[in-house]
Amino acid sequence: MKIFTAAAMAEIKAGTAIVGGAVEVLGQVPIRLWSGYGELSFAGRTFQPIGNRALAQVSGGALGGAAQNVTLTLSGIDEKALKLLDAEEVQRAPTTLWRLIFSGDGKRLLDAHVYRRGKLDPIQVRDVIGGEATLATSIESAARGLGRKGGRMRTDADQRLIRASDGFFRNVSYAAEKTLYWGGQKPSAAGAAFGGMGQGNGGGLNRLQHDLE
Amino acid sequence: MTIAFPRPMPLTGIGQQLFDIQRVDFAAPEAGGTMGGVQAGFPLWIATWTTARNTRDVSDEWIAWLSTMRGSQKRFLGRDYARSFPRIYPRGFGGLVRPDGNAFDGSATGWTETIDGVGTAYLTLRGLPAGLVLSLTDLIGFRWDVGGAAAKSWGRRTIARVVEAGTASATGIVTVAIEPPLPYFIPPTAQAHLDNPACVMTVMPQDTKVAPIDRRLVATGTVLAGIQDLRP
Repeated sequence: MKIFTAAAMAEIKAGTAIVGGAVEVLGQVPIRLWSGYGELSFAGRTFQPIGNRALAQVSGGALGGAAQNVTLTLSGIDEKALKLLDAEEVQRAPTTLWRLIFSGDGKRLLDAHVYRRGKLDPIQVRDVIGGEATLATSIESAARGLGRKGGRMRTDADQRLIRASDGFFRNVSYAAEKTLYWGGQKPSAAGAAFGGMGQGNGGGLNRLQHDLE
Repeated sequence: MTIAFPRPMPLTGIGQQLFDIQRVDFAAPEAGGTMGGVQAGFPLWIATWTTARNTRDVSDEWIAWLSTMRGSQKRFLGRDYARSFPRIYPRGFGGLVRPDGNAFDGSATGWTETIDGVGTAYLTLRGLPAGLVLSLTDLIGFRWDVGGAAAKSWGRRTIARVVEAGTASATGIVTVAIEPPLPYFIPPTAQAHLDNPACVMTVMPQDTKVAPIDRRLVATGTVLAGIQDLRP
């Protein structure tokens, strides 16, 4: 449960709150950006403005369990966001995303709390000819990224990073994806989480779990 | 002649204009009629101008002006063609004097902004001619300098719209309600002015289109779309 300050809560109740976002990427040189105009200082840090609603969209509109990643879409041209293009430095860098709540007149920062901590991975550059240039990154949340003991283990390259002679994944061309509800809301039927099983089996598992408890 | 940026818009030639405040909301309507919502980011001025059936000179001026914008690279001074001056003074402030006897050039000598309990912004201007009337939707411009730039180069600007009218007192002070509230970073040294209020804007190329010229060699209906580029 995230605790809003009383002033922020009152503003949200009145429906007049303005939301924004701030992100801190701790590479060799920390990158701190926020979604408004002018430098903003809070929590002992100073954030550079990008004047972009992207951060606001992420932190204001995203809902989901703790295990879900958060995707940030930034301008691919803004001189401050461009530092993120130096992918080698910021890949897997610890990242913190704040949600900011301003008063309706846009003058007072009522609340700033950490919305998500994680690691920045991956970064995609998307340039549409005649269209937009964007930088999409996702923050791998702690439940997913920090919970791993070693590195990623999806491809042959990942496995060989751990041990160069280990070719266990060398014949794997496709990294299968399985969604587990880890730390999120419990699925209504276990079958929904452990795909491929019939409804009846799922119900049986639930009852078994119930019996064990 | 040197072209300065942000570049002022041509003086005439506009047939239609939309000049308004853009706010982006996340709304959460509920069946009971409650409309929850938060606003994403801060409000900005947004505008669309369409050129009229002009003379050839004016048409050429607009095409040349749009070329200097280089797509969305350059900035221009977006302004409301309906409100170059307050509504009661469409020809300017000739003959008006400040309470101290000096001629009035459109700029206030000072300003303060206060926010009331429900978030409405009230702007008090000082140094105006006694009895000066500010009508609804009159615009008050604010201009200040980029850090390090020459004084009064006015590289940064924004606009506030009068939403509750007022008349200046005998000492030249008027308080009006404005929308949107001024950005929080606006320096106290910024100058408030009533003559040709403008804000720095960028062309939105996807909505901007130069019209083809007709037999009179005039481009009628060129559309220019701009959005405010607000920076401290």
